[in-house]
Amino acid sequence: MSRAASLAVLIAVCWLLVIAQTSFAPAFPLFGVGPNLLLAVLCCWAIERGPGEAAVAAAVSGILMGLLAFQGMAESVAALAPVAFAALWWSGARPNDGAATGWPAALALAAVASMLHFAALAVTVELETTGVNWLEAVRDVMLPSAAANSLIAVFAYWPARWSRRIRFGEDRRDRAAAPP
Amino acid sequence: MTRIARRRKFQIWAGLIGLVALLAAIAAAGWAAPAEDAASGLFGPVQREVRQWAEPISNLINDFEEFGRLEGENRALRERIEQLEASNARLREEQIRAPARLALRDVIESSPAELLPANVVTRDLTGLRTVIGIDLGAGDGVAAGMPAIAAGGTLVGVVAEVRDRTAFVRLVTDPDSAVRVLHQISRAEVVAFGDTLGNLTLEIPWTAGVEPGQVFVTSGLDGLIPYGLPLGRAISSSGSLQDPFETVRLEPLAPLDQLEQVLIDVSTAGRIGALGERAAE
Repeated sequence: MSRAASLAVLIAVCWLLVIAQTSFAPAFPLFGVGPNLLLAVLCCWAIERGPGEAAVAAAVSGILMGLLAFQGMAESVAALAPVAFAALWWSGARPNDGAATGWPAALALAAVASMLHFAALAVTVELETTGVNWLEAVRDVMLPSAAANSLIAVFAYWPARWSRRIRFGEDRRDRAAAPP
Repeated sequence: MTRIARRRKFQIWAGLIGLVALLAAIAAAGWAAPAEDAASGLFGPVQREVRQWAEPISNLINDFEEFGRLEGENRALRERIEQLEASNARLREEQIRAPARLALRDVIESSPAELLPANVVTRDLTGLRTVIGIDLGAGDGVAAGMPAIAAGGTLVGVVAEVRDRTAFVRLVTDPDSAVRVLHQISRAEVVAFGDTLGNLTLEIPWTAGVEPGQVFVTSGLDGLIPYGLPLGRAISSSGSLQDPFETVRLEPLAPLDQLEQVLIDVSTAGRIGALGERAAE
């Protein structure tokens, strides 16, 4: 698949996730909070498909979220960017043993990314409003979000793992860079 | 680490940080609004359809054992309670204000509010704010500052941001929300604030003697929200008697987590315009 086609597919997937996230995800609360389907899927995608696609997906999803939700585009991209940075680190550290480490890594990343996502948004709310009750917000929003998103990642990981069979956007440069 | 990998790493870091800075600059310059308008107009109907399609499934999951019957019943009952409480509060308010109103009857001309029904298309996704997106915008006559009212006639929030075809309503429990309210019994006028956990609280002198169940209505003194809209009932209070004020927690009369439609009071447009002009002066 060419780079242009793979980018189109990636944008379409991000668009579907953003529509799902902004329309019905809040109606299915887990542990008392609306789960972040988009973030959970992005974490699995980042672990399995690498930092390049994760960065593009974070940027596209952040912009779409900013266009359709109350928070701004910059704020949304900044809240999703840690997923791409984590994927960058993971791509260098990952042992070559397939899902044995990929799956737990995706769950851990979903939990950590949820906390960072919460922190990024909470700082914005702190700056824009009368303030955040941090202790209660961490207890009632951050920890349940981390648990809910990790639970979604349990299931979302496997389609992402399967999608490794499709080499989106692979070109001569990638093949040349790949180890023999 | 190879040179290519290092370069790629740098590209990703710099790309994302640069993009965030660029988007922040675009937003600060006000250039994001046309794109947001276009996106809301284009995808708003899709969001609404998806939401309506998913709602029965959500109800089914939430009340799996009763297959949604309890959910519907509960919602209908809550709406009925809200209507009755609103009606009760209005009657009590009428009773309290009747003498003054009789005296002023000949001089006061009240124009009926013009209410536009709007569908809720999205909700806040951060868990820290309580904001809803609706399918009416500036093109329909909606402006920032207009009150949003539930079907039962209680205040649910104020329009915070308007795009061409959509708008966002900041609910009364949002951390940015502050509504001037009146304790119906003591007539004490205070401000009710939201917070990041979706609570609605106010501080009121102990002398007001607030009891659980007592209703607070809007005072109308901010010039934007009409007088007398029921807001919430007291459910608990805290604080030491040595303090001059007690902190009272209110429960909004409208079921804010189940709103599907709200009414926007567009008759406040004139007042919003006048206040804007005064602020500009």
